[in-house]
Amino acid sequence: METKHLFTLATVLCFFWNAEASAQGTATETIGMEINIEPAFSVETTADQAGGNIELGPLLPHGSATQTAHVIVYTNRGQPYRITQHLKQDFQNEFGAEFDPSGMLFSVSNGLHGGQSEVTDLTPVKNGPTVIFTSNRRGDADEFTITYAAKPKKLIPAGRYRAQIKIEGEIQ
Amino acid sequence: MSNRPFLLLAAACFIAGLAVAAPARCEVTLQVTPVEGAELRDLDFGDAQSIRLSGEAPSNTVIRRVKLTINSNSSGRYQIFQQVNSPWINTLGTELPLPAVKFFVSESTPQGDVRFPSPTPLILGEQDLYISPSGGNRELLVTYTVQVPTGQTAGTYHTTITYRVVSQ
Repeated sequence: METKHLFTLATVLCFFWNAEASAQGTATETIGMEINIEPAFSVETTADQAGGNIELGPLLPHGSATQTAHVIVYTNRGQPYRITQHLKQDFQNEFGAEFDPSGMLFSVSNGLHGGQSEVTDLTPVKNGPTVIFTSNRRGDADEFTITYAAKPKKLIPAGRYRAQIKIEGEIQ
Repeated sequence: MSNRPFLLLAAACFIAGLAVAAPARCEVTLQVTPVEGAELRDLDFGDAQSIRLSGEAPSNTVIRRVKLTINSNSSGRYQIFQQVNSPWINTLGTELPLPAVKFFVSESTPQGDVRFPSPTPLILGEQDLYISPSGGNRELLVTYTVQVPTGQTAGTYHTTITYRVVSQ
C-alpha cells in the first residue's frame, strides 16, 4: 500500500476515534456491601414426654424401663464443640431413699451430621460432668438421642425418684 | 512524491474531529447513596442472625436500598450497570452465597427500560440495570433483600459493588 493511502486511512481513523471518544461518557462509583452474622451457640433438649422431664417407669420389681431425650445443637460458630452431661443430684424419692446409681444407665447415639457419641454402650450415670458427644471437625450443628434405662440390680423402695441432669455444650 | 500534503491533511482532520465532536461531548455523573445503614457510604446490612436464639425465630431478613442519581447534559441515552466484584466472604474465607441477596430496580418517574423490576438473585459479575429513553437527570432506587441462610457461619461478610453509567 502506498504511503499516501496509509495517511488517508490514519486520518479517517483519527477522525472517528475523536468523534467516538467525545460522544461517549462514563461514570463509575464503587461501594462496599457488608453484613454481620451474629455468633450463636445453644443446646436444646426435649424429652418425648410433656413437661420437659424424662419420665422412666412405672418400674416394677425386677423390671426395667427406658426413655429417650432428643438433643439439638444450634451453632453457627464454625468451631468444634463437645456436649457434657452433668448429674447435679442423686436420684432420691420423696422420703430421701436413693436409687442405686449403678442401676441408672444411659447411652448416646451418633449425630445426624457427623458428630460422634462418646458413650455408645449403656453406662451408669455418674455424678459430675461427663463428655457424651463430640462434634465433627467443622463444628456443624447436629442432633442426637440419649437413651436412659433404669435397671436396678436389687429391689428398691417404692416412691417417685427424681434427679436433675444438665446437658450443656462447650466450644473447644 | 512528498508526504507533506497528506500529513497536513491528517493533522487537519484530527483537529477537525476534535472540533466537531467537542461541542457534543457528553458529561455524565453518577452519585450512589445508600438510603439506610449506619455507614452511609456503604451498603451496610448491619447485624443479622442465622440461627435462632433462646427459642426465638431468627431475624434473618434485612432490606437495604441504594439511590442512584444520574446527571447527563446530553440528549443521548445512557445505560446503567451493576457489578459485584468478588464473592461475599468473611475474614475466614467462608462465603455467603450471593443468590441469598435479591434485588430489584425502580425509577422515581418511570420512563426508561428497567431490567429488573422484580426481585432477582444477585450474581457475581456485571448486570445491566437500566436503559434511559433519552438523556437528562434521573433517580433510580435499587432495593436489596438478604435472606441469611439458616446456619450461615458467623462473621462479617464483605464485598464491593461497582455501578457504572455509559452514555451514548
